[in-house]
Amino acid sequence: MAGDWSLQPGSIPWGNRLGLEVVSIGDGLSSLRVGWRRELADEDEVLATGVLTSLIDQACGVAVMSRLGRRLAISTLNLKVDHVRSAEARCPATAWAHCYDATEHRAFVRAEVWDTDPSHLIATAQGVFSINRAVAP
Amino acid sequence: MNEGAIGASTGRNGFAKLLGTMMTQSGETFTLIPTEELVGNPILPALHGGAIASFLELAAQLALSRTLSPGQSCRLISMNLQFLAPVRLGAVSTTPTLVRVGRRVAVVHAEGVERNGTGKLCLAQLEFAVGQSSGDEDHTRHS
Repeated sequence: MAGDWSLQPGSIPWGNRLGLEVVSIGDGLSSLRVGWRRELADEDEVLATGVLTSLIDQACGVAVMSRLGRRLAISTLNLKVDHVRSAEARCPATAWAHCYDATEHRAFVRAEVWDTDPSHLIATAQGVFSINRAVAP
Repeated sequence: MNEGAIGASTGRNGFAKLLGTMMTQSGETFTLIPTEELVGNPILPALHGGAIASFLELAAQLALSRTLSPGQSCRLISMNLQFLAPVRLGAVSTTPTLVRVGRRVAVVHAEGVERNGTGKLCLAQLEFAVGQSSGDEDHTRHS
């Protein structure tokens, strides 16, 4: 999958703008991270909820690619995000996403986000993605 | 169009400031002027779901903030997003609806539409926690 555009954060402009980094990928799982920067933070110096939603959306997409193991054009059909608690100030965030099932045209994903401790979640999410077509090499 | 209004109401919020540079406001309608930076699918190309979500969230929050009294703030609890069509590189507008503003929770609907047409692109339902935000604000992690 190394050549897949979708798995290279640098090739997704918005992910690149936010500085999303891939931590790990494989078997329907993905982990992505976003560092703390002032321009991504709210007035309390914690990562903005919109940044976390972007992190989640991209982590879910990467998890879908990872499960299907091929180049695909996918799009978000729906996404529900719960912001459990604020992140710590000036702290990066890590998302873990799991594409737990997929049919020919749809993929189902759950995600969790934490800041300092994986057992202390700051956000949880669930979404459905459309699998549109294979991408020509 | 009043870009200044967005900048002034975002204060020390760095991310709102960043998004505010990509948005305009006219009355109660907010418009996202897309740039290449906002793309999530370079093949179509279409805007990133997270970028659309961030725009609708900020618009909803700004619309809600207008109705809150000075010492009050709002913080997003949950967001439910339904995408209806790929969001291409055209301008996207939203006029958020305050469905209910209670003492503790406010519910806002924000529908993303093509500015130059009637095409619906995305529906968002947002729930905000409403609280006090002055100097003695409770900065708890809601734990």
